[in-house]
Amino acid sequence: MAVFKGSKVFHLLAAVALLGVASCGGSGGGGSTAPVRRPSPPPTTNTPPSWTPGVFAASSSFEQRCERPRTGVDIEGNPFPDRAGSVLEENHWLRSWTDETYLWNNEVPDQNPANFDDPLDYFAELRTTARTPSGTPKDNFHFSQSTEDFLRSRNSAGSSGYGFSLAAIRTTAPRDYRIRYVDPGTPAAAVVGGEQQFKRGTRILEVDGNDLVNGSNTEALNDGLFPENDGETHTFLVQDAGSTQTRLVTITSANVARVPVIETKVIDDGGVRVGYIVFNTYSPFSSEEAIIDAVQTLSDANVEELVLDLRYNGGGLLAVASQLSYMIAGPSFTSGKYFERLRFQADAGNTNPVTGQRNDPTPFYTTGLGFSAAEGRQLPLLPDVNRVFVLSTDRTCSASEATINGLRGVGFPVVLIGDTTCGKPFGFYPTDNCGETYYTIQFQGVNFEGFGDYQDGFVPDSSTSSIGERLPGCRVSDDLSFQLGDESEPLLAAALAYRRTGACPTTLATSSARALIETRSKEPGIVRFPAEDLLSVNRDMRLPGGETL
Amino acid sequence: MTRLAALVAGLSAAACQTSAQTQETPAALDPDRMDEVAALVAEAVGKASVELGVSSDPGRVVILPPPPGPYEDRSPAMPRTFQAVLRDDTCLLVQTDGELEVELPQGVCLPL
Repeated sequence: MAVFKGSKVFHLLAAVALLGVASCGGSGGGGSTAPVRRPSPPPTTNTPPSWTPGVFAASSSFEQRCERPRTGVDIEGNPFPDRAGSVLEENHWLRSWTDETYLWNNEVPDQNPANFDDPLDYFAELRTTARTPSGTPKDNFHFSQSTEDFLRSRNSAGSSGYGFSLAAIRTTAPRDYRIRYVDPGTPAAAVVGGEQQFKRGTRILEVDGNDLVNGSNTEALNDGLFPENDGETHTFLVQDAGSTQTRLVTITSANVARVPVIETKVIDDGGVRVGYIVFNTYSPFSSEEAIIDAVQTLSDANVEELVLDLRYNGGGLLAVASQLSYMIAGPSFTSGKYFERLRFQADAGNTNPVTGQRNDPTPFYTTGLGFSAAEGRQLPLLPDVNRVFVLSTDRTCSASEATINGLRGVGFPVVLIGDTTCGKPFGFYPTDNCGETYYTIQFQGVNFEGFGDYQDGFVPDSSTSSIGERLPGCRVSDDLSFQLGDESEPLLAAALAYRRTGACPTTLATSSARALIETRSKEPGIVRFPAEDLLSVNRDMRLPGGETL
Repeated sequence: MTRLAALVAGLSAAACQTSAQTQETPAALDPDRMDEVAALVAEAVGKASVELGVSSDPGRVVILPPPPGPYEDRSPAMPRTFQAVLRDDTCLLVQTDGELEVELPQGVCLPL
């Protein structure tokens, strides 16, 4: 028998109860991906809602009042909360919810919900149209997807695939698809006949005999590149970087999950021990244990410098970003300070308008939190490391940028090597209404110094770019010709050179004829982009369900 | 209003660890009954199920948040941590920030 103090009751009475419990201790909790504030539904009325400009009824008045109510339970086993309603009520919910939680709610034009027949069309209007100093839209992350897709994706431990990250350098003929990196322990990393199946830089020329470069059988190409099921066997004609020879790879798909840390090593750089970690995602819960173990390895080796390779890390859990930052900077920098504060709309005061909880800053977590590392486990430190070299590209995003910003906020030196980061200091709580999960920007992360305005990215100081937040460091292009961890790989090489000389190298291997620089293709493609590219190329509005661009 | 006041008083009293009349001691949880514990916590938080995280303390339970979706690249999701206690003879899981308590069946809490 479970009794009591359900969260709904608690929030209703929190303000009063706080008087009684304040002396009992406890700390502010962190956020959750799902809003916990669920006001009781108001009584049903038959009067359609009306629109008065500038006047907003509580979103709870319209919550889950659906034109097409769902029945039964979702794939997580939770009953659908839908009640009979209308498109108009769904639009009114969007309008009020935007006013209550959107970061820039005062910049949204107030349009009559009755003028829109489709909630998605109305949602498209519920955002700011302001632009950043670079001229790009201030809100570049406004979209939705079906709740069914959202729940399915967040509950899949992995997906069918091979375990490689595919770079779409050119998506129209002559197409150029290459391997960005390979996750250890996956079919792509298997060694067959003395050779690894796929390697960084390997170009795919044919899929099951179909020409990927100039061919037109896109259905067969997509089927082979993006297998829908485990156990599918496909054959690829490939050419490795720097090779004139081709080879055939026969590979069988499996259920593969992303590997957070794909390399940890200690480099002896002229007698100085340099730690190197390739950290590719903060997202799965396993990322906590993986990054702690990686830092522990470097701590055991008493490294004196650290190169943190975040070039393909698009973010994930802020808590893990906080833990990593603590492990890098240590207590001398972080004691008495916080990692990040979430800044919500001005109307919210010191309350998180999504959860209804007090908006306490995210501390520097000093122990495991239980995601995958034991709760309470003391985190390892790197006491001899006094600065960090972060390797970056425009895929270095969100929680990765929060790490950079959090470290800078406590005065820990960060040297940026690579390209301008993606520029996403914003976040959201995906929220379902009537079967659609909406993403609208609700908070901005700011560091201990109150800084969070890096919408145009962090920029290495040697860049000629006139926009963005500049950091010491070197502008260097990523080059798929070189393996990650290879000391001649341009970004790592530049970091090591900067470490030795305090200056950016004047010549890099990327100037050689075999340079294979990935640039973001903007052309519309008929062969799919890899799924991980979706957010960065299509931030606007509804995500394509089939992930076909 | 009377019911509200009573509930608030109950919340306040429950969030404090002890009073003159109650005796509260940390406890361990029967490791063979953790599925039962998870089911009860899920019921208490209004979910069909919850996933347990990693705890090295036999008296602590970590409840994981829903996993971040693929587009949640700046997720504030956090686990919720509970401590098992015996309050007089009642076995309870108390969230470490005091927000929630869940009563467990007799025998799930083991004295330390």
